[in-house]
Amino acid sequence: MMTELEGVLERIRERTFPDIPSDLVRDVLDAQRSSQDQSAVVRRIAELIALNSEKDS
Amino acid sequence: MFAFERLDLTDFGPYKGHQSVEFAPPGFVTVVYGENMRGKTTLLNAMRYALTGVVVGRGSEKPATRLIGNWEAAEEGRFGFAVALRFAYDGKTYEIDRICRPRKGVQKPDTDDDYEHEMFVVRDNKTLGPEESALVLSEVMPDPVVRFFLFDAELLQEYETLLRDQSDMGRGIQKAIEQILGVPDLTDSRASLRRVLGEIQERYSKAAGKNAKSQQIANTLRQSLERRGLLQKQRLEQGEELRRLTQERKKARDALRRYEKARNIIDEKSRLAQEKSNLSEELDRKREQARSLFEKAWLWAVMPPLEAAADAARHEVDAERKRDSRERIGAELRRLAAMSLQKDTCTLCGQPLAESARTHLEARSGEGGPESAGASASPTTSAARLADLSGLIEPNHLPGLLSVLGEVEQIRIRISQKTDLLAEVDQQAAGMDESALRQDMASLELAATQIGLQEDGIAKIEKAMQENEAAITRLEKEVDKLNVPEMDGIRRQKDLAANLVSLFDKAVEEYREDLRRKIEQDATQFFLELTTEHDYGALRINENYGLTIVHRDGRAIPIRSAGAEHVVALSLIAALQNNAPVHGPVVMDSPFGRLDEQHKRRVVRCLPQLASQVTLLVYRSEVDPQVVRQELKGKLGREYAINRISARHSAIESESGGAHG
Repeated sequence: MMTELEGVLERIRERTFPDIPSDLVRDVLDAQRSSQDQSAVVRRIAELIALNSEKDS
Repeated sequence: MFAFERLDLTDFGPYKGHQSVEFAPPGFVTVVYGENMRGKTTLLNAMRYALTGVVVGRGSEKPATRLIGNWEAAEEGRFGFAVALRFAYDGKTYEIDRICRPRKGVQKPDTDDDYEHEMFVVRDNKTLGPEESALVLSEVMPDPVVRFFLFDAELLQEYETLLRDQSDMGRGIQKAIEQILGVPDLTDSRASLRRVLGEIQERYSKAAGKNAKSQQIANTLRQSLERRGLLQKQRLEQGEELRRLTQERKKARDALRRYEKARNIIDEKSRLAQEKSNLSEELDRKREQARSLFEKAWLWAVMPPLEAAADAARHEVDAERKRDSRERIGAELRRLAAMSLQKDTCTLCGQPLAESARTHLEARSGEGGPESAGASASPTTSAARLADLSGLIEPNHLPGLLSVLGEVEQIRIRISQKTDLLAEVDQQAAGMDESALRQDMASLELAATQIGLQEDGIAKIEKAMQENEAAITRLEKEVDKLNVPEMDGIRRQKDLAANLVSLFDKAVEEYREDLRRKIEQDATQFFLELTTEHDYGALRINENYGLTIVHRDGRAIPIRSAGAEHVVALSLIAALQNNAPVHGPVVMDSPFGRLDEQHKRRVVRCLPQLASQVTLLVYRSEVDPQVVRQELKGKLGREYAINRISARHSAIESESGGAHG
């Protein structure tokens, strides 16, 4: 079930950034929540962005 | 769902030995009754200690570790303490165990350094490693949000600062409110995305530098990116410095608050000493008065015979005076008769004497006076005796003496009270250092000036950062326009990352706005159930989550009582609990002190709606147990009483009431 916060993100994504995959937004949020190691979080998000931009090409 | 299950204490505060509390399950209320100084706040502190490792004393100050343990246990040679909190979270059972004991080799610990602390987190009977334990604690109840779960009346009062201009405390509470509502999930994600975007932009600029078409712009872009790094570093340093200065200011303010207390103590001491001196002088005067009255008070015993003798003498003197008066008139008449006979004319009317009158006067003038009749005792004897007796007769001084002695006793009692108060104040004044306090005043002034300068510096850096960011965006667009095919991949990454940053930027803004609206709505609903004032229509939220009472006519109520403040704070907590991603347990310590009976009833009635699980720590005269039972009915889960064994030993005992008692 989508939380309030996730609902806000999805609403803005649909309205303003429809090209951004919904899963990517959720994955970024999950990456942030899953670790207190900020460098690891940044690495994970960079990977996610690289993967998704490859999909677009 | 997050719910407390059981709290175990060992030699913690007044809880000597091992004692425990089982909490009623979610949906029910646990009530713990305890009179003042029995250990209600200590129970709250035990939960705070388990969750955060921190114990908070009066005025939010941290007490010395040796004062946290049980004093009787320490006298018996058991130093240190332990707390275990079992709770359910997200479908799993956790237990946090914290143990504080003397370091090896320390026989009798005194300072905080003489103790060591250990902490274990057990999840479903499996002990977690340090990193996982830290993650659990930060997830379940991070330090700043504890205030919304474990609170007392003092903490509730702090929510008023949210209505005023941004103060350090207000900013702290606002941050905590956003933390409980899950805002950091968004702001932290946005910060991570910005870092990722920055790294991608670095790579983008390097890629642009490798291409002849974009090389020139790339050089400028690289300079702007380098400048960004520099500005960010400066901003970070200035931010750190600002934090340090704010801490300095807080320390100085706290010290000055203590100074304020110290100054009050000194004033109180002088006042009491003066009052005592005045009373001592009054006592001397009253004692002198009593001594003087006592010298004459014995006469009270001989006064009746003296008064009888004086009465007799007074009668004799009166009789003598009457007799004396008659004799003087007779002598005068005889003298006038003799004169009339001698002149043969009446001395009184001047007419010649008739024969009959002459005969009568001759007869009267021959009559003898008192001398001839044989005089009685000297007339002065009785008068002299009366004068002597009158000199001895005194008013009754006994009632006056008793009254003065009563006053002496009263003054002595008041002096004794002042002496006790002075001793107490002397104790408080011990260890005060005026020069250190003056130094703190200077530090506060210096910190305030430096903070102002620092904030100006930060504003300038932020303006420069904005200008630099605009330059980076412009330069990147110029490179984009060149359509360098080798840069397609990195450009897509840059655009995606930039869009994600914008998405999270907007989300932070909208989520905050949504939350404010929902909190205003929920807090209003709760407030209207709690308040007894029918003219209050709603609560209005401000940017800092501060809540203002709004009259039915739409106008804000500018001033509110301490009781209303309390009700508003409880409404805010209920709204936060309702909107937080995790619904947790709430423990309230003596929250009814400022509320009247009607409000108490309403708050008790609404407790099951305040949070998923509520524990109430109260003294019986604060809220009548009968009221609690009537209002909670089937929602009263468990009842406990904290009973006194000795001044330093309390026992938690289960009471029969409650659905789970």
